Amino acid sequence: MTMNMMNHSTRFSELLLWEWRRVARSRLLWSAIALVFLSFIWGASTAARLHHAQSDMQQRTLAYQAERHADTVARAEHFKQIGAELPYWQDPTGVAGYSQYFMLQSAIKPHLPLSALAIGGSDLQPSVLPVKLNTLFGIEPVYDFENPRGLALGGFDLAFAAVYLLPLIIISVVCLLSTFERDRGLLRLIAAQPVSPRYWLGARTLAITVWLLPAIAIALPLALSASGASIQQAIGELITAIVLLIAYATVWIALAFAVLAGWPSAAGAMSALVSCWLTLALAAPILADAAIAVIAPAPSRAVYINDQRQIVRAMTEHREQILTDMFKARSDLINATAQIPNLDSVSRNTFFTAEIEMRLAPLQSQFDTVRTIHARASQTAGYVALPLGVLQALTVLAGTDATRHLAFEAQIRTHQLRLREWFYPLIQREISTPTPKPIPGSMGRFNFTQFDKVPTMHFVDSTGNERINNVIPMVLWLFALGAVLLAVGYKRLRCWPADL
Amino acid sequence: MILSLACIELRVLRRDPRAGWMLLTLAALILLAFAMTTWNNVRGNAEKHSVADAERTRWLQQGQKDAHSAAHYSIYAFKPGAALSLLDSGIEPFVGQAVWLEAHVQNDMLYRAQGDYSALQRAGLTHPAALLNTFAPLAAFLLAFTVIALDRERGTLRFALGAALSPQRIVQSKYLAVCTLLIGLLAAPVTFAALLTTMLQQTLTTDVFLRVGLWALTMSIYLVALAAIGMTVCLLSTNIRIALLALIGLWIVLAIALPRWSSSAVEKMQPLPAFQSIKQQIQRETAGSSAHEVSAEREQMLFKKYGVSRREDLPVDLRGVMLDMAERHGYEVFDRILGGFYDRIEAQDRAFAAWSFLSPSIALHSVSMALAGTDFTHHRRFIESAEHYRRDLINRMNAELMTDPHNEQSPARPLADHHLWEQVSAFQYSAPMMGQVWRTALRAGSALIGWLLLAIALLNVAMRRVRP
Repeated sequence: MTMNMMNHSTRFSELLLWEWRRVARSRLLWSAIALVFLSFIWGASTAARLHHAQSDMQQRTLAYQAERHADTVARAEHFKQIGAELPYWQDPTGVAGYSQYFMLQSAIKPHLPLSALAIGGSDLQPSVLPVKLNTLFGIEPVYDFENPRGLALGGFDLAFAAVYLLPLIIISVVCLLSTFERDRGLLRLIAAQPVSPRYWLGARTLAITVWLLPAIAIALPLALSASGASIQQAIGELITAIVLLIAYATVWIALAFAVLAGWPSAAGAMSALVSCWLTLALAAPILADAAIAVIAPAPSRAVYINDQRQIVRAMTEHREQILTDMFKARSDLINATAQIPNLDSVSRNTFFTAEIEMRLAPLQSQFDTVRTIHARASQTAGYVALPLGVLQALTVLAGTDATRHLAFEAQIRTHQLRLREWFYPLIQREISTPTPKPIPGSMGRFNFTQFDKVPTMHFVDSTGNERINNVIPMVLWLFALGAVLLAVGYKRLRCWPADL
Repeated sequence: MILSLACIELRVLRRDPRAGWMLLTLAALILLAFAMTTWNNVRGNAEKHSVADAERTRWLQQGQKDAHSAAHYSIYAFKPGAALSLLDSGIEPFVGQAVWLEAHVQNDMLYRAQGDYSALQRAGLTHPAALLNTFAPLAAFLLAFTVIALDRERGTLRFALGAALSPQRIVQSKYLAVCTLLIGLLAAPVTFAALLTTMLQQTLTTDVFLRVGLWALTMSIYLVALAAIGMTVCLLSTNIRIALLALIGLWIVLAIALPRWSSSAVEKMQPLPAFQSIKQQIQRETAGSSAHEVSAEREQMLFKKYGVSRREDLPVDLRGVMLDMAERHGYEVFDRILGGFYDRIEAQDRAFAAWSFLSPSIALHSVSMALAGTDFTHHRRFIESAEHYRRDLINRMNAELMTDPHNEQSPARPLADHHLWEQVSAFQYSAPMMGQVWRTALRAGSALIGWLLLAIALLNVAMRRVRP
């Protein structure tokens, strides 16, 4: 028995070596490998170009912030002069004016070393967001205006090449190289040899695999390096990305093997496999999207605007009464109700913003809930619509995924609340107990000069290990699926086709 | 004779499971995409209309207030979905749908549908034109493969050609059958559905009708050109495997890779400046306009103009004039910087359309969006229309402030009321007519016709080489 198995394995390895050499002579294989390299390199450079531009913009934003800060300090110095008091919006030395018109803070989401892997959401979700005291729920609905035609069409990035083009390349190579004998009527000659169909087709498919998978494993880091990515800073993520793509390629090779096990012609095999590609890459996401739109429809932004405007109007109409009630409820302001008609809009907003947020909270919560449902549905659908799943996994490793952006937004909100805690008491204290001017008669109010003490935000990112851990389930799923498909193919390959 | 031969081919094709299923599945997906975009469009438009009406009511009923406060309160303008976005939603999900028309700032259009979406929603986002553009080539090539390459492999083509008086007629009839199937199953149903829907929605104007007609014609040209390319490849290929590889390769290159590659190439050759830098530039140039030193300078200018030396002696309201000057300065800045940015986007779109010689898919992408009214040129018309309205509104409010000098000698100005609010008409937007925005479409449309002529010419050459 053992001798028999050894014999079989020797024969298989000989067959594999022979097929490996034979496949290497195929121009189709080398064309396919060249296509993989070219598409990966072009794709990585596309994403890298976008991300370099965004990183440059982040640096320019910081420089602009520093420039504005210096200008504010200079103005504060200038406004020590004696003269007519400035309107509050021109006065950086008044805490209200500073907080609204002079404080310039931006939250920055830096790109990760492997961001060239996938554009993901980085063309839609801004990597720089302004942090303002009174933005409702913290996030300004601004964005970097990329050409919308390009957004609608989608970018030719590495993820696109790997997720959508690579399977088509694999399908073409495996189908055409494995059906040559079948289409030319040569299969009967092979069947006449002392070789089982499992050995023959297995060796042929494995020979192609042995060429393709290393090519993919080399093409990926090469493309990333060529795009200028600092791959040495993210070796773990890079290895995970390589393993992920190998697992994905294995699934397609295994699927092709399972289809070819039925001995179809090249046309039949390619029709079946392209149909699978269409089902997984196109039909499954469309149907899943349609289903999720019915199950959890997104609330309307127009309705959100309407509600917000209604609330603001209602509060504006009764603002004196609302403020009076608020002042009366606070011991520090109870004696300042006479100031209410003279309050500037910034001081008023320190009372109103939280109230507006409270009234809008149910609708905002609907948005958050639906967003969470859609994100989960997207994750789940990725296990069926494999291209979507691999795309999402690549965006996680690249740091261009929705989860990272949500974490970024959550930290902005936390920072905004911290800023409010810092500024609001200062602004409100000026209502009841205005700070006397240190230089009597100065143009500026000088109740605020702590420009350097304002809290700033630094985005705390997830670690590389956390990102890898998020991707591992997809990698395991792909390998499991590949194994099942190989087993299916192996089982189907019991005999040569009957019509030889 | 060709017609009857084509009918026979159609019957044969109907029995072929590969081609039949592919075509029917694609046709079903196109109609599903049509239903989804129509639903989104109808729901979105109804909500926008309703909120726009509420905004108008709020504007009129805002009570008594300072005209500048009213200019800040202002209104939101909503962009109505294009009547034909059900055929091609184009850039719509990627651009904002509402804009707040407030004083001092030309705000961005906010709330892009895709801005909130998950990866699934982006992957599942589709519309009839996108499906036709990307997957109709595969259907066309598969049909061509079935009627030529498979027939040749089975030997039936040789038999038919040998028996025919004119072998070309056999090929012509096959071509006619393929074109009929493609247009009849893929383009025609969705065109009729669009006509019916616009009729039911009462949006079927002469312009819309013309656009639908041209869209259907464009799609037909695309499909007919693809069928010709597919048949040429099959006729010229020496065997079925080469034909198959060439067709799949052509589909990947023409419909999947080249459009995205060209878009990336255009972006590389004519990069847009980062929008943040545009905003910083605007901020730099407009923020100064409300700064203390600028106000003081303008005040002195006014004193000089009216020959006075005190604010109280000015015959105009200083605050109103200051606001008006700052606002008009802002208009110039927005037109120059933002307008320049939008010009560059349109230039990118034109450059992309110029790459149509690489692939008919690129040509179709540009033409279809332009005809559906969902390209950037149409979007910019809305932005400009809303901005024009904003400027009229703000100018009217500032004019109100400027009318009487409001100073220590004059009593306090009475607050403005509904008499002023009613003088500002409601915001109404009419999408531009086809004739006003045809430039991008023309170049790509010409390229598409070029592709058709080239494909037909190649098919003719291939047909002449056909021997029994």
